[in-house]
Amino acid sequence: MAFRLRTYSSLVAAVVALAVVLSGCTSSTEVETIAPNAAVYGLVIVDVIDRSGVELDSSDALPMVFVEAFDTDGIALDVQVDVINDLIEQYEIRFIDEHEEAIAVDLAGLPVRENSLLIGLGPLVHDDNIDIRIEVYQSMDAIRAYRYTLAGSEDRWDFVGVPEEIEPEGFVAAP
Amino acid sequence: MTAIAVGAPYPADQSVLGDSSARSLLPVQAMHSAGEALFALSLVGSLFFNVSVDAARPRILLYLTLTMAPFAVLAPLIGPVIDKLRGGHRAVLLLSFGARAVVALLLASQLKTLLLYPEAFVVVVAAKVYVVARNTLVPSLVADHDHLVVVNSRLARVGAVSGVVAAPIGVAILQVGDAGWVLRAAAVFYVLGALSALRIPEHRVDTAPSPMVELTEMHGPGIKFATMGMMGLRMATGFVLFHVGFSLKTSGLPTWVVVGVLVSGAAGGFSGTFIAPWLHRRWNEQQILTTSLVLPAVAAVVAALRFHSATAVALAAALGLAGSIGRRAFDGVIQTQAPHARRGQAYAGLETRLEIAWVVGSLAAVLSRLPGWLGLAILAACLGALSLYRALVGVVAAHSGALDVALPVRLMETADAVAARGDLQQAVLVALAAAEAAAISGKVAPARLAELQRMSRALAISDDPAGDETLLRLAWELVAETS
Repeated sequence: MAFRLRTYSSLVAAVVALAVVLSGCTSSTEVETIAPNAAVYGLVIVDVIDRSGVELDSSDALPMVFVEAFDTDGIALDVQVDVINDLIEQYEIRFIDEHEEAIAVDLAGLPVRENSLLIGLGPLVHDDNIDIRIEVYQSMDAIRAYRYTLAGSEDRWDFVGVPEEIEPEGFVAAP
Repeated sequence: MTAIAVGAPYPADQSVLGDSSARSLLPVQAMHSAGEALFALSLVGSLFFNVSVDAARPRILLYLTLTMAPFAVLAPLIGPVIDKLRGGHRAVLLLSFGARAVVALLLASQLKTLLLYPEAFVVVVAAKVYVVARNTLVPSLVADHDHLVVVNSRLARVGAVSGVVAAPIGVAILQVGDAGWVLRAAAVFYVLGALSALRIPEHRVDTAPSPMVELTEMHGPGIKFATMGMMGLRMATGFVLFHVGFSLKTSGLPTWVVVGVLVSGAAGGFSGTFIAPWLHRRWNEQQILTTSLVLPAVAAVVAALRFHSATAVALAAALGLAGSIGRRAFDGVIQTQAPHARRGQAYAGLETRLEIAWVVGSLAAVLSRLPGWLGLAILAACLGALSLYRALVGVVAAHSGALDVALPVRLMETADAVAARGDLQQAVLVALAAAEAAAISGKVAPARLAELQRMSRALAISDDPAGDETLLRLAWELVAETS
């Protein structure tokens, strides 16, 4: 009995030790690769937040930013994960399905929860460059929309010129 | 349809756990619950709340479906392992804790990656393996089968307290660290659980009942009826976990509500262990099971009418309470109607069915994509319909006696059938089990049962067909007197 107890204990300890090692390895040696679409989304999200001039609340943790896809097909799960991880040092990105998830519907002016922003991502239009329509919703009275053009390849994207401010379409009747 | 005489007291906890090897399960259960509470809490900081539900749904569906696969092979595997392998039950518990500890450590650095889904579901499957193995093990560890209800109740109480204590620890870790550290803390509890499992004594089934006795007992109408009710509760739990989880996210409620839901579910379960004996003094087990379906139905109606943090927390508490009360009633039915079915194989099948019901409920929530209020309304309707059906069947059965104990009679009928096939020795074993089941009623003088047992021992040596037939006749007489 004592022998079996020791054997079991050693086995448990060995398995746990192996897992700790593996756990450490995955976090330190992981090769970061993100999908091209995710890289584009990451760039425009950061830029549009900067342009909004809104001071996001980061008193307790990373500032939360809500993101919605205007594309009816939505944004693929792996792309969402890449965007979240791409911006993990700056923002807590939360992809939503329903406006109610981001907007405080019981407050006057229908502001975004936690004084944050709701960003709408239009579909990526590919030709020589990539065009994308972005909308930023802060409340019913504060909605702005931009058209971005980006050039580059899979691992590096840059803005072409400054984004053009356009009429909002996605958030106009949203709430 | 009385399973146990209404008002018959359960044995005191002290006497049950003071000298029982079931006591060794208490720290194991405590570590399991603490680990599970921390694991659930860590999901607050996972990808689950960052990605859109619609995008995640196919992946959740895939892994939930995969969760079914191990259970399809669980019933035939766990039972024989526990029955036949020396220390087999410890091996299954160790495997469950070990797998969870390893995966929790791996997941600690992968909460924001797509590995969350397969790894989280490994933890879910391993936890369910633990539940099946533990519930299978308990009957063989309790010294007296009459103590099954009390031991399971004490285990539930310890588990609930441990979960409620672990939750604030997890919240504190979240405040100073991140969800990864909550998972690492969970891994510590899983390892402690594995070490505690090593202290469980090797169980011995002192009497080896005929498989036919087990089969007859476990397929009795009372057991089937109770299993149906319990499956309804398990299905509701699985449904609520995913449906409310999705609804919490899409309605934008703060993540602390998730903690509230977890704690209130555990608190409901804890309260249930105290309320169940009170109910038992007034109603029989089947009536308690029927009533326990009504409670979450009412809570679901309220939550459907207005879904917010308070109603979500109330629904979780109601479901925890109902699950706890229902489980105690279910154990009571097994205790009286399947007193010989103590072996792993018989129990594993039953427990596995309950876990599959949980998975089916979860799948229904993920597949249906129903709006929050509609899903809860449908849940309330299903639970209400099931409780109404059970109440009607209960009324009919009370007049016809269809669900009544009648176990000794059914066993004697089985003994006759076996004897007619020519297997007299097997028939004697079943008849003896029938006499023992009749003796539980207290209407049989112990001396008469002892006389039959002496006779069967003598017959086992002499191989006398005439003696076998005499024993069968005497057993029938004894059973007829008590029924």
